[in-house]
Amino acid sequence: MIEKFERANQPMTLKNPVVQELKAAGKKVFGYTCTNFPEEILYAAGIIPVRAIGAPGLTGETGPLQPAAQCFIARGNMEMALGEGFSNLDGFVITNTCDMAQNFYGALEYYKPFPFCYFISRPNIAHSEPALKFFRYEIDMFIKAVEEYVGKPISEDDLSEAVATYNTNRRLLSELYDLRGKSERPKISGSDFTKVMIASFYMDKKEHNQLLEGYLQELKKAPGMEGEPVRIHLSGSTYPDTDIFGLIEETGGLVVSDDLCVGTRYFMNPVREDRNPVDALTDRYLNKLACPCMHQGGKLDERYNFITAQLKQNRGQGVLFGLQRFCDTHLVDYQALRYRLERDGIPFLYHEVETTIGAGQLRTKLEAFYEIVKGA
Amino acid sequence: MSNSDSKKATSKSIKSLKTANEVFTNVLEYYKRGYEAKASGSTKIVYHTGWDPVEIDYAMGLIPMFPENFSAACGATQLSIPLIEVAESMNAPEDLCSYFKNHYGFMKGTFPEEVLKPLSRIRIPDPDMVASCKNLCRLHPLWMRIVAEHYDVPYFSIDSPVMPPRYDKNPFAFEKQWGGHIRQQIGKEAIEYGVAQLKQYIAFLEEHSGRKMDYDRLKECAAHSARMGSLYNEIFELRKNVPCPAGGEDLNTLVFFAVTMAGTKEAADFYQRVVDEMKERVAQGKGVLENERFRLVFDGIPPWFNMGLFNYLHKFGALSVEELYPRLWCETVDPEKPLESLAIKYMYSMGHTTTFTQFLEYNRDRVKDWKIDGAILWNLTTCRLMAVILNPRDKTSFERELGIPALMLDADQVDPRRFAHAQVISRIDAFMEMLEQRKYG
Repeated sequence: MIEKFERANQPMTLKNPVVQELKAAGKKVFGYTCTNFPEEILYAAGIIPVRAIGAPGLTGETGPLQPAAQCFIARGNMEMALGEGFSNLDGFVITNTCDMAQNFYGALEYYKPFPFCYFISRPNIAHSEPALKFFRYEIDMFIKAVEEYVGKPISEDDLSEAVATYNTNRRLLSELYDLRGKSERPKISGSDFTKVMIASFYMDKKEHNQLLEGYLQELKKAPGMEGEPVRIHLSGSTYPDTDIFGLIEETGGLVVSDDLCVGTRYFMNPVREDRNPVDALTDRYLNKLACPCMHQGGKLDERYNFITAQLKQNRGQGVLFGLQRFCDTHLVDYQALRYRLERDGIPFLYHEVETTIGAGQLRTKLEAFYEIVKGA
Repeated sequence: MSNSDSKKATSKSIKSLKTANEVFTNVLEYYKRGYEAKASGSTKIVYHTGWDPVEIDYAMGLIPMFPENFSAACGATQLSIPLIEVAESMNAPEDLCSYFKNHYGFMKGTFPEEVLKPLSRIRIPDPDMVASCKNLCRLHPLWMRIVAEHYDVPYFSIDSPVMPPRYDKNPFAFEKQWGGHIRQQIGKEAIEYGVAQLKQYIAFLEEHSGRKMDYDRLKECAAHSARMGSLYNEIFELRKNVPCPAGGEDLNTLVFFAVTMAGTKEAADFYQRVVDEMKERVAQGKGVLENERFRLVFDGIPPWFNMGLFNYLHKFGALSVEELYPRLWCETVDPEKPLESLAIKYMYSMGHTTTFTQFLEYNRDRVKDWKIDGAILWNLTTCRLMAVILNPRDKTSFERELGIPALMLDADQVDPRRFAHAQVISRIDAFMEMLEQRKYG
């Protein structure tokens, strides 16, 4: 059944069969970049949001005006946006996260303005009343812009329905996530989980929910995985494919939990359904599980506590930081997280990825790491 | 004025203005003052990053200190390499900001006497509090949080939203725009967000310093800052003159007061003297160069370890007459509305614009008003702001829209190891030859 999800694992939307079908059915499809984008607003307006997560196998050529000193995800997105890869999209929305996202919007606006091109200035601090108030204003402005684009208002009911659909997706992904490491014998590998995850970025959420319900039933009946792999927590941002999960599995490990933008940061924190949907969306998308781009006081503890809770829940034995080269926010947060891990005696490994995951070097590092973990 | 020692990768600049030559003494005095205050306990030290609302600190009698300025000073005094090496030995990636690594290494490492002795003149005192405003650089607040953890002191983070072009058309634009170099209209929601955060910052300082904010004193500091801002702006205005009375070698040094002492009489008085000196030159028709043949823009944080490069340009009759980096601090404030205007200065001015098209207008003015022939873009590969945002904007707007040749050089601001001197020199030579052909045939 995993093949049904895998089919949608094509970050280049022009070649993604699922996106092609949506387009053929007359749907409007917009791109977006980050987990902090309130997708429900587009969905409520009848637009399918699909995510830009870079792409493997690209040249990295984004023209003379885009420097190499940005992460490969940003370079991949830029190449597809300024080239042909995203040419079947009707619009693009960027939310403020990092310098790459900011520059990506600037490049789109100048070089390749989509019929709908929008930047949401989301604050970089959470759990703050002034930030919440400003973000609410930004969300209101965005809703107005979408309403203008589709030529009709987005009702509160439309939004509530979209929130319910997305919350169902979050609940189902959480259930699937729990099958990775919560029990002694995982029922799904990290790479299969991530295939389902990536598919959710490109499929209509209702369709993804339906498929996922079936997959969960199938998995729940299945026996757990054989063997005793080293149970790894993977920390990082985004990967355009599942190569890093595959290599970990191939070398005798298993990613049982994560704090990734293509993982828990996407589906944790449901939107509250007992309040006005715009208020609830504003709250969720500002105050959700913190990513390194955020800089409110207490964020590092919030991040670290999440990692240790995941290790505990999923019987994790060590942490792998698989960080994108040139990703300053992750690279700096790592400096602080490593001291906490050292203090608490939790084994960890640091590895930078770029155009590829650097498989040869990572294989050797992992093998040594597993020895340390087993001896710990 | 020309620096003949072009083979040396770590040469000092020769400044043209007398006032610019006084800055380093003031730098040393500033660090000494911080150290003495720390030692005596007379007041508290608040760490900041590059561009923070220090008028508030001065109004409360606190001393703002800047780890980033410390890193620049380490670069200028050729002390950065051993500090950066410590950071890298602790797994700080090579591609990470050199300012960060310089300070991180200093903070975490232990050093032999031969490093400590020269460092003692610019050694930054430990903080009592740490604050950071994410206005230009996204790494700043993350860096400062690590600093606060290291010293176990309270930390405050100020956000400044990125302003996309639609804010240019905001119908709720604030009635008055301070500063002159950004045409953006700031919405009232953004101003409210900024003011609310500044009030929280004041409450944070009050809580941890035991001092109360005196709002009359804040107005006084804002008045000093306003005077400083307009004088500092005037410096850039005076540079529109041909020949130009001050070069990049002067301005990159002069910026020190605007960064560290905004809100003090001392800073405003100093810039008054700079303006007077420059006006005198203009009246005499005197420039930095006797025969000014090319007027250049130099964008990027300059190579503090080799400021002699600015003098190297002189041999071609070329002068850097406009630089984005020191000009960032040009904003002024309104003493009658200190919080609103400080919010605009620090959260919504240069650098917060989101797109090429917004930045294009800024560069269009520069080319026209400063009569620019070419641009050198100092591409800091460890700096995401410069390498990913500002330089692509510059390159696009200068070359594609304004027809001004732009030379992009990969380099660094404090790490001489990331600087291929011979290659940089040969590319500058070729660029100048091209400009020669283009302008004089």
